[in-house]
Amino acid sequence: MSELKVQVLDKDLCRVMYPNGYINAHTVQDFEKVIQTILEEKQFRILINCQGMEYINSSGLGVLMGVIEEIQENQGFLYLSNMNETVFNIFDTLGFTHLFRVFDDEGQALEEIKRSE
Amino acid sequence: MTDLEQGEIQVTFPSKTQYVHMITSLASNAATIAGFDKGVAGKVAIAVDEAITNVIRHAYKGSGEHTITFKIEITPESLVIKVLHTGEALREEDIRLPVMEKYIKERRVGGLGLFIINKFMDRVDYLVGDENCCQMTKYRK
Repeated sequence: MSELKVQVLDKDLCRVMYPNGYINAHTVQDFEKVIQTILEEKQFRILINCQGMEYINSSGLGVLMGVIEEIQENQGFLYLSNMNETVFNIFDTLGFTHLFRVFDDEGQALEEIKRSE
Repeated sequence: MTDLEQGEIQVTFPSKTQYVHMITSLASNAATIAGFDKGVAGKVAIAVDEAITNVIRHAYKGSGEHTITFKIEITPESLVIKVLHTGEALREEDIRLPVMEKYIKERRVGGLGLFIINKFMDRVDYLVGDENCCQMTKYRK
């Protein structure tokens, strides 16, 4: 069984990533590969739906920190939604909620994206 | 449950990242058994992940040929977690915790692990000896 699977859906408004599993030193490369592929395709509007994300450690946060500049330089965004308590705690504790917008659920995020079109 | 649960668990495992999640699950379950809520159990799991990852990456420099011993003690006062290894010791005087505001502004990557451990646990001690130890404590409120 794979410890992390990341499905990506191409929606009208953005690409939505669905990581399923945990993101730590063991799985972070798989996570990074998926996000880099999206950027290579010049897609800079990204939402990560964290519904299936058990937890993310500092390696995973490092990946997000590493790509946010390129995304912002290309007038894109990196939003997150559907976090469980553990994932939210880590974002909140580190102050990452100021760097990445976090929505309760995917619908809310998509609505905000639509509104700001 | 009126009596506070007490007990000890010990596991020795190879210094490879594929074992980390197994140990974080164990830590999270132990926190629940000790009576901590889901939020705290999640924080304990992340702190354990970071502590073990640090040992594999830094103390053992990424080599998977060593072992790490993981101990949990559930006491009437606290949950005490020990990550023991024979690699390079991390000394308290060498620790520089990042200032998050500055960190985010400069978009630095890496080095967040120790900060997370300190934030999510109540007390963290780095003990140096025959076996070096990262000892993390969560107190019952």
